[in-house]
Amino acid sequence: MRIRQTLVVTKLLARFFWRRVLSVGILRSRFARFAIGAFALLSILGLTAIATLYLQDLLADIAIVQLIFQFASVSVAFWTIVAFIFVKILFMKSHEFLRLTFQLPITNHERSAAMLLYEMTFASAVALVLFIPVSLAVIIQHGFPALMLVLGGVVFPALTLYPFLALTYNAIFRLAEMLRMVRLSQLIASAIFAVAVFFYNSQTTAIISQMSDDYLSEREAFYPTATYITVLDKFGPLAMMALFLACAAVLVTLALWSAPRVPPIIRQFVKFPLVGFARYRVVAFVAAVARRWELWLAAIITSLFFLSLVTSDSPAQAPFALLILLVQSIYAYVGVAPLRRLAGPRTTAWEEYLLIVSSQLLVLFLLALPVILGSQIAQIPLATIGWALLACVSSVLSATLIGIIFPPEKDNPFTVLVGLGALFAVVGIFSVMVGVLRLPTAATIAILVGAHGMVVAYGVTGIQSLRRKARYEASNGGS
Amino acid sequence: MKQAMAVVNCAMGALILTSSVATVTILTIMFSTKEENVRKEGLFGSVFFESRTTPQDSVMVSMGLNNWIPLAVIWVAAFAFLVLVWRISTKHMERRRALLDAHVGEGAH
Repeated sequence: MRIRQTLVVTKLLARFFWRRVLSVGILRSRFARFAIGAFALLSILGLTAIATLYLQDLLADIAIVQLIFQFASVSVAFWTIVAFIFVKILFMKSHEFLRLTFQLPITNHERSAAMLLYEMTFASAVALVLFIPVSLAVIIQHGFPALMLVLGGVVFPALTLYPFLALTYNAIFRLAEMLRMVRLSQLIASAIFAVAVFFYNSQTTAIISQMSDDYLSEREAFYPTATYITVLDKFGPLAMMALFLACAAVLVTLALWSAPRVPPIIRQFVKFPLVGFARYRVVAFVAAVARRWELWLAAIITSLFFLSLVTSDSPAQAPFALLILLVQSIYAYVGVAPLRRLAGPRTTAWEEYLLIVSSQLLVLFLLALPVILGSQIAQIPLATIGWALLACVSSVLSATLIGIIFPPEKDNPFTVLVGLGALFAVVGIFSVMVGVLRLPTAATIAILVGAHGMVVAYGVTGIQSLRRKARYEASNGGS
Repeated sequence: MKQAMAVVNCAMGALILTSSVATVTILTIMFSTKEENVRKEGLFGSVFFESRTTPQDSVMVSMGLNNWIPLAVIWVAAFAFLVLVWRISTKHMERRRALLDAHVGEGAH
């Protein structure tokens, strides 16, 4: 394998993503880019300020800081696995831009290695951003020792675990290849990782309470996730750095070496029979939603998640597993592009929006039936199921809006990430406000209804403005 | 339609600004309060934060809206400001376009 070629392809992919993301939808406007960047920077600064102020007394003792970073290493492992699954599912659809590299003189092995490098940078960036505020707050207060703790508790575990997961993924892939199950390999690998993350999550509480017990009774114990911190404690920062460099070098080499040799078999759609109903427009839209292969993957992960929640200690939250299906709604608008073109300008934006939303809701309720039945068997109150379904409707509306504001053309995973980030930021800020302001219930309901009205209105106006732009009636914004 | 949407956007923006100011105020009061058994108000008395000790020796905190009139005033001010900004920017863009068009027209002759 030639490393230089791999790096060139990685750079090519990065540049391609950068240009595709910044040339479609709202991100095309320079002002919107500036506003999003400023918002991200401000929220990180604000969270850091809050963390610094709030944690000042709590973090005065460096021993407690060390304990906190031991805890953090446990959840860093969890988030790294989640980020890995998320990135893998998003990049499953990456053949559209991998096609760019097909005429280059490289082997498939080098191509997959480039993809792996690219994903790795991506996922570690996501995992690190989550821990910036607390880390900065600690570094401001304690300086160099705290920096080492941040590295050992957050940065290094994430950067070591990711290539390890990639190696495991490749191993599963190779095994499936040997068993002649290449077509199913992605499904099998995703399912195994989903089970792993649920298992790990169910263990987290036990690990953390074990850690605090050991700390309180001043026992010394070894925890796999806190390896770097233990080494730092016993042998100092240099030893920790050396250990990290050695681990990272070995794991990255192994992960790159084990990258699959055969090109992945791309599966975009499943067969979805339309017998006789195709003359109803909504059925065509339903079929456009239901034929997507990732929808069925998401449905399988949802059922696994549901099963693991139902069998856990607190089954009441189980119906909310349905929210995993929301990721699919982001593709709803671009997914029906051929149908939209077929219908032409005769359909109004309202009709189009209704068709897109109602087809998704139909599919969602069909997929929700097993979960509803399972919840009934597990004797979960009907009200909870109702709330979960309402939450699903709400998430379908907002994810469709995200798909209109940030259209993921060619299934570009980067745009989806940006869109989901925006969605979670808005919903997060919104729920903090509702939580802190303690508005009366009537006011909360009114705000929720109003917010959904706005989501629908913005969705329709978004479709209208995209149509105007497609006909060059409006400027594309920005330059 | 476009104008109505812009006004609605301004109203929503003002709502978001107002509620974020209120939330940030509550959080600031919360984190700057060291003593127990106090009630503090902020943002012209519109939000409050209260902490008291229960007989069981634990600290209860509560927070929320005290008086909505100052908030309404803030909303009106923010809304007026946003509408003004929007009007000025559209006027500015129109003038810029007119100047550019005039320039292109001269160049053609």
